[in-house]
Formats: sequence, C-alpha cells, structure tokens
Amino acid sequence: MKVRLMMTCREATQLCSDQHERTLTRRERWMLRVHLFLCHKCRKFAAQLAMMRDALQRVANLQADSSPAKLSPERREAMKHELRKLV
Amino acid sequence: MPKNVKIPIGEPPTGDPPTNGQHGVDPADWVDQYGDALLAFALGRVRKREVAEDLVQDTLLAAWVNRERFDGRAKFATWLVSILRRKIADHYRRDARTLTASSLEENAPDPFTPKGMWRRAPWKWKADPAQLAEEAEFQRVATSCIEELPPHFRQAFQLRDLGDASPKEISVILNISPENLAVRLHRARVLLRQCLESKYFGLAARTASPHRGSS
Repeated sequence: MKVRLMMTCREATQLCSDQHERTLTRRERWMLRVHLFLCHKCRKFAAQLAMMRDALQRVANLQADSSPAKLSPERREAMKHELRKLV
Repeated sequence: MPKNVKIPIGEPPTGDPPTNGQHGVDPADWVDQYGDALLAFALGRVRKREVAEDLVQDTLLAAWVNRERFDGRAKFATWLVSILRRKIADHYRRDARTLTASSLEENAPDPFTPKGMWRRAPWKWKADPAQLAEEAEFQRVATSCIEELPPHFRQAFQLRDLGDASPKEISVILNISPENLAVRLHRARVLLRQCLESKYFGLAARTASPHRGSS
C-alpha cells in the first residue's frame, strides 16, 4: 500500500478556501504548507484567491455605495400603508 | 413609546421593547423606527435592493400579525431580526427551487482531473485589487462571472464573500451543513477564478504581452 505524502491540488485548494472560513487544524496547516512549497500552481491559486476576494468585495461596495441602506420615502409610505391595512 | 433606535449593521440590533400588544400602537411607526436598520441587515445578506425591501416589509407585517407572541424577554428589535432571518432563509429556499428548475448546470466543468490535479494551470495575474475594482471592464466581467456560477455556488459565494453573514449563519440560511458550505464555496471560488482568468486576465495578458513570459 502506498503512503500518500502529498495532498492533491483539489485538496490543497479546498484548504486554501477553508482558511477564509475557519482556522485549519495543525495537521492541515502542515500538509498545506508542504503542498504549497512544492506546487507553484496552488501557490498562485492561494494568492489569486485573496486578491479576487479583495477586488470583488471592492466592486460590490462600489456598486452598493450609490444607494445607501435607507428606505426611500415612497417605499416607506407604501410599507406604512400595507401595515395600516392590517390594523 | 420607544425611542428611535440605531441598530449596528450586521449585528442583531438592540433597543427598547415597544408598547406591543397594547391598544393604540401604530405599526406604521415601526417603519420609521426599525425600517432602515432592518434594510441594512437584509442588504448584507441579499444583493437585490427590491428583494431586501420586500423582506423588510414581510418582516414588519409578520411582526404585527404575530405581535402577541412577542413576550418581551428579548429586545423588540432582536425579535424583528429573528423574523427577518427566517424571511431571508425562505427567500433563499424559494430562489434555489426556481433556479434548480431552470438550470441543470450543477455539474459545471470540474477544473481538476479525477486524480485531483489542475486541468489548466493558473496563470500569473499582475494586478492590484484596488485598481481592478475601479476598472469598468473588470466590474463588467466580475458581475457576469458571478451571475454565471451554478446557483447553489453563487448563493454561497455571494453570502460569504460579498455579504455580512458568518459561515454558521449561512449554513442556517441555506439549510446545509458547514462541510457542504465549505465544498460549495471552494467550487464557487475555483470556478470564479477560472472565469476571471479566461475573460479578463487572459485578454489583459494578450493585449499587454510584456508581462507574460514569467512562468
């Protein structure tokens, strides 16, 4: 039986992604470090993931800025109207 | 009567309980008191403004109908947010249902071989996130790449990477396990990366060729 020393790129990129949601276990961190040391493709991926997240968040914020999180006067009145119907 | 309550975005708001259940309460006042804060909370979780506004309205209507159930143990604003959370989850459930009916693309091309290797190696991206975000062409490509993601992946991605919700909250909204969420986010990010590379960075590399020869 073959002992697998290296995780696959699929597994490594999964951990790269998981890092944004949770703290990796000690073993996972170690395995990922070994993989990234040896694999330039996944190294690029890890860097791109962070950059992509940053850039896309900025785009989303730019798009959201044009309309502040406030109800418009019309919408406000429409809601009041709906609520009063129930009273 | 309750005071005007400011609710921090993305967190369960706090505030004085209103004179619920008593006569003479006008639910229309809730719109002024809680409307904006609820909208901010909703906008952190659904992208479309009309949808967020509808969810706020549904929340206030449901709150009025069920006002007897508010027992005063929690803050009234917290109670409203708990209703809004349920409305958001309902929204995603409905959304997923219409989407699966309309698309069979859950099996989007796997970027990895069966042995778990890259099918196509990632390229080198030369870019600064802040500059990218300002660029109209990048904005256009990014928006269309996100739209093109298979629905389940897109929902997870938008909630997590573009919204305010925590992974735990997203698992509840989408009614999936944290492991399943992690898998969806991974797939979404890999597909998105690939899409940006072929539709944006690929072209950038071709038009500004001096940067390409590094790998």
